[in-house]
Amino acid sequence: MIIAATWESGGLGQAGREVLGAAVRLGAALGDDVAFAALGMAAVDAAAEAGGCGAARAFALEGDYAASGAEGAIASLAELARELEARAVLLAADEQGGEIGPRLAERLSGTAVTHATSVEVADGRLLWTRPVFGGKAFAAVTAHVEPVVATLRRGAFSSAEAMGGAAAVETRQVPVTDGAVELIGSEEPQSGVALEDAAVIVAGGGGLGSGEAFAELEELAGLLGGAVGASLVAVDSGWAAPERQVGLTGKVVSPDLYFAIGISGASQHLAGIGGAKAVVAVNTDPDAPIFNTAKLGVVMDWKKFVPVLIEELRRAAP
Amino acid sequence: MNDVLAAEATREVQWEVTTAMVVVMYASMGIALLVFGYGIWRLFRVWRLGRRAAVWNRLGARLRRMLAAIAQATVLRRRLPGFMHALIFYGWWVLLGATCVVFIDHDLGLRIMQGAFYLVFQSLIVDLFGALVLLGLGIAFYRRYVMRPQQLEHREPADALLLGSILLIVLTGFALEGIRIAATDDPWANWSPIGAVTSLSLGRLANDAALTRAYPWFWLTHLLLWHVLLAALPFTKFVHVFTSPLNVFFSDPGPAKGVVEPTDFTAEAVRLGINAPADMTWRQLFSLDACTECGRCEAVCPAHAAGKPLSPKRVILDLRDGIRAAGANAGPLAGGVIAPEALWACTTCRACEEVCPVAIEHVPLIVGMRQNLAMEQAAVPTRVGEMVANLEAREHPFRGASSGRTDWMEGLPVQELDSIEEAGDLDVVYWIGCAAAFDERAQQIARALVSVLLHAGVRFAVLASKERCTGDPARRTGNEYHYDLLARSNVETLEGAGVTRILTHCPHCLQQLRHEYRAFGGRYEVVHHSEFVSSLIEQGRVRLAPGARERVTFHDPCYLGRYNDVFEAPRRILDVLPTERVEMPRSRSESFCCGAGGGHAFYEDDDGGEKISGIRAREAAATGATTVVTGCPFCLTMLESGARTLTAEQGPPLRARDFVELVADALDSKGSGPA
Amino acid sequence: MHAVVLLKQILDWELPPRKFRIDQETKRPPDGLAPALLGPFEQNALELAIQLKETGVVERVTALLAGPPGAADALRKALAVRCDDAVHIVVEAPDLHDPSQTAELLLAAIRRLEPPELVLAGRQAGDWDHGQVGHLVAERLRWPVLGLVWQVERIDGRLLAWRSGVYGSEQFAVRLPAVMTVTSHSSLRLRMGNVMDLMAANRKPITTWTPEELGLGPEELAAAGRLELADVWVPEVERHCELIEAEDPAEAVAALLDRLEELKLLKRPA
Repeated sequence: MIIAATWESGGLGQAGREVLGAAVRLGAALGDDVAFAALGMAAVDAAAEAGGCGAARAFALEGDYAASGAEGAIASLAELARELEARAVLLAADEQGGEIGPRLAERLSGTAVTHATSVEVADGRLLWTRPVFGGKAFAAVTAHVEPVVATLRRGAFSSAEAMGGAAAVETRQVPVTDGAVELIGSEEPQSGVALEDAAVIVAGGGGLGSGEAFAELEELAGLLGGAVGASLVAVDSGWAAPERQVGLTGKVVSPDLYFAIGISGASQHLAGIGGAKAVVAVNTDPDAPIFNTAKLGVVMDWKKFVPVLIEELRRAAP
Repeated sequence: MNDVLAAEATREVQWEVTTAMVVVMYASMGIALLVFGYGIWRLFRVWRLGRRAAVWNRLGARLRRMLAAIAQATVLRRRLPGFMHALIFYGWWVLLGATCVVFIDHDLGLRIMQGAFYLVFQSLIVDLFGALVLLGLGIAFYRRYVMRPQQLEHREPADALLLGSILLIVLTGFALEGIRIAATDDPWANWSPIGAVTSLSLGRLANDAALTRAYPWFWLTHLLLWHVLLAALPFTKFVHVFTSPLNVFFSDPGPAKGVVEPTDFTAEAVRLGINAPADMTWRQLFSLDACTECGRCEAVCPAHAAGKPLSPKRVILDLRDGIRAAGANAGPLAGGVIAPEALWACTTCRACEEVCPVAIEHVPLIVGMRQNLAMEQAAVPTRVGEMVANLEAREHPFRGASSGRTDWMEGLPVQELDSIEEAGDLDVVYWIGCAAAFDERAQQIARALVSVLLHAGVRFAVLASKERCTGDPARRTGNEYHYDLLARSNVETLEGAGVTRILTHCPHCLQQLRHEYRAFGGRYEVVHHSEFVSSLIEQGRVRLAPGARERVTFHDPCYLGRYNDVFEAPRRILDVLPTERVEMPRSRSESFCCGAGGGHAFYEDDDGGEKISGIRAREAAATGATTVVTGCPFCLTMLESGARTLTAEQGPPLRARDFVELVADALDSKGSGPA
Repeated sequence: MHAVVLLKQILDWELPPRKFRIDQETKRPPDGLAPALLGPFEQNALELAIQLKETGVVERVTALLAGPPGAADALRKALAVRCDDAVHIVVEAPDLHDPSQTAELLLAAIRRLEPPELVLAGRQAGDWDHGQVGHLVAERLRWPVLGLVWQVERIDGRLLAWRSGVYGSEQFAVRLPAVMTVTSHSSLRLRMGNVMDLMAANRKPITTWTPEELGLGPEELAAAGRLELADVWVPEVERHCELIEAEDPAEAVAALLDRLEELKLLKRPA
């Protein structure tokens, strides 16, 4: 059995579709069935939807997971994986997946593979590809010990498609944990478009020079109906909130259009935008590596370019 | 003439002065001297807090510098205040001389106030110089209270009292002379033109008897004021009449300038820069008391001009006042008495030192305090910390550089020193420096210079990946420990490779390799590429093709000009190129920093204020030049970024280039140089 | 409270991608390609440990590292910012790829130290980018673990930690003993030590243990292995960027918007 598990609220989200898609293809290659587990307060709908997208069994693991950090999710997935004798558990490679993956693997006496970008079956073993050295290289790895708990990079796997059929949703409650980790408070999720789901992202980097500059990017993003992202340099400089960071250690995004403004294009950052359909780079340095990835480039000081772009878009707006 | 300069010409010395008055005079003189002595002792106590300093080497140079300063040469570099000061200075000496003549004649009984000497010196010359002092004082009052230049410190009422008492001393002196001439019908009155005029005017105000009665009071006022002034001397900036010439004598006589004193990290108790008076040398403490508060340093300071919180004058005066008030316990100096923002704003351009008429060395004090901030307090601006971390990890200061050390020479027939059997066959080893290795723009300087060297058939090699940062940005930001490690490694590399002659296009590397590595045992003949290319041209080894004339202006890099006295070589090169060279108002030793010095290339502040580079680019554009030429990779970067801030009204687009790029462009490729 | 901070030296992460190479024999970057440096997230973890010492949350900090002999530089750096002790597990082989083996080595050392109540690790080592070691150490110690932390305080015998969650920062109370993995944050830039500490660090002893001394000979280490490195390669980067040629910002904006429209990437309202 291959288990695909993601956080859901309402219908099956994009992350869930991708993870399920990977599980369905892997299951086909191995001749294994696929189970989908939706975690969250309201997970039934997503689980039901997964049943129509190739999952033989669908689970809604309902409960307040956030309260115990990753512990509740780990406990409930471990129980499920043992019960189903899972050969692989696939998760999304986001903040939560990163917390769960290694520990779930350890509890199942298996192996964790993080940030996978592809998987293939060779001689009956799973060969995973993942970026290493900050995205400058890729490594192919195999696990000595199964099950494998893999976190999958957003945008690297194609989504599961509806193929009819349905699975009865089995609902379970999150197990009670020992409370060693307890949620005290959290920031309200930012309003507006989430980075992972945004069709347009306007991202700024070290070239912006200050936090105030991000106000202009906010305006630009607003005009384009998009979200604001930031490079590691900008986040480390305190100009943008950590959850805005795009890159290997931040969000992995896949918008249609990605504006990289004052971003030089360290591989760490590029590893987060591989899924973008088109990158537009604005940078003063024509040799900046961002231009190797960009489809369109403007070699200009952003201070001269962005205000004119904002003005033009504002003028064109109805 | 003999008739006129009659031998019997004299006057009654100490006319109408009673013995009691003379006793009062000597008594007040004695008190004044006691107070004066106490004041000097107080200052001396502060000077004694300092460490040892070497001040007796290069005696000839020291004496020459001191005499030039006494002769007002340094003060006169600024016209109006220099003129003002010279008038008062020379006048005062002549007047003091006249007082001495009276003393010799009257009190010692050597009758010298006689004949031609009396008439020409004691009467005419003294009179005229007295008038010149008045003129000088007039300028001083006008400048201080009407022009009010920002650089002048206003310490009321001290300034007014000091200037006023000099004025009163001179005025009462003329009054005394006038009364005496009027009352005694002095036959030689015309030899004292001012005195004669005064006597006429006084004669209209009062009769002889009244004037004669007033005479002793004028006399007492004249003398007592002078004694008060003498007593006040060590408590006011007027102490500079003693301390300034001595300070010039004690100051660094060169020839190397701005060399930072090495720190002995093997010492039992390592002194980490300056944070207390005891961390300074006695001559540094002494130099604080040499300050005349003229403010010239502030007026030329690029950081001050850009609105940064630094005034070199305030650094000196705040240190002086802080240490006078608290003595040995004064401090913390670094970051306390002197704010950290002020210390970090300095570009170490040495414009302040160059302009200081009394040879105060501001930069070593600032760098010394930075050393304490960096090494003891570990309190440096974020970017400085990152720069140093980068030096530590990667041995170059360019954080996040996307090039390697040898990228610039890809595709060029450049030999690495390692691959050469006999280093002795080489003309020169070309030291690239980090800028040309890691900064894409500066790489073009190295490529241009290489094309000139190849054209001229120069046998050269590079150290390639064996080079490390010379440590200059670490040293200027006070990170002496990291500098020390880099300097020692570089000296070891250079010694190991048997390098003796070095060519560099970076004035900061030049300063290190030429002067500052000596303390680490590295002695090399080092030339800047302006000197080298200029001599190649003189030797006829560079063939230049004619081209369109371009109007250019040369920006003197601080570390090339003020630090290393190379002013003419780059200009000689520009003058053989098809260029029309114009000068900016501030050039050569008065050049205005680009803003990059002192490690600022790596922590250019973004505080919203005006950028130093922008000020300089405006000045360059105002000459009508279309290219500002320089000879330093950091100046180049700064001027380019400054030029980008120019608006259309400030002139046509301005390019920034290294002169060797112009030379490379102008090379006559048809006739290649000697093989 | 005793805290252990887990460090690692990695290949200079600022090495430009076009300079990056892999030696197919060792499946590692060739020796001397770039300097080995204390990893950036390890720097953040170290800084957090020192801040906790300054705020009195912990009394003692031990820096622990598994790596080749040259990696002692990283421990010197830790001592220079006032870590109390430094322990080096000297691994002669090429760097450990398998996070399970690394965790096993570190665990063996932690068990020999004065029992810590807090173990801090970087969120991931910037070479193999697994992001597993901290979590594996926690699981094997059966301690709670919180990832992506950037600020910690003490509250009623527990630690209050701020971490980066999916939607923004979250606060958790964590029971001790615990493991935390540390992410980058503007408040966690590793400080520059003062020179007295730097010079003192050069004289301080570093405890060195071999894997064998920790009871982890080649066989035991192999038994702890989970992941096999089959291949490593550097992807080809092809540049096909179309530069908008315009000096004037207005022209550039117009040209860019035209191209975006032609490529159907953006619709300009009429």
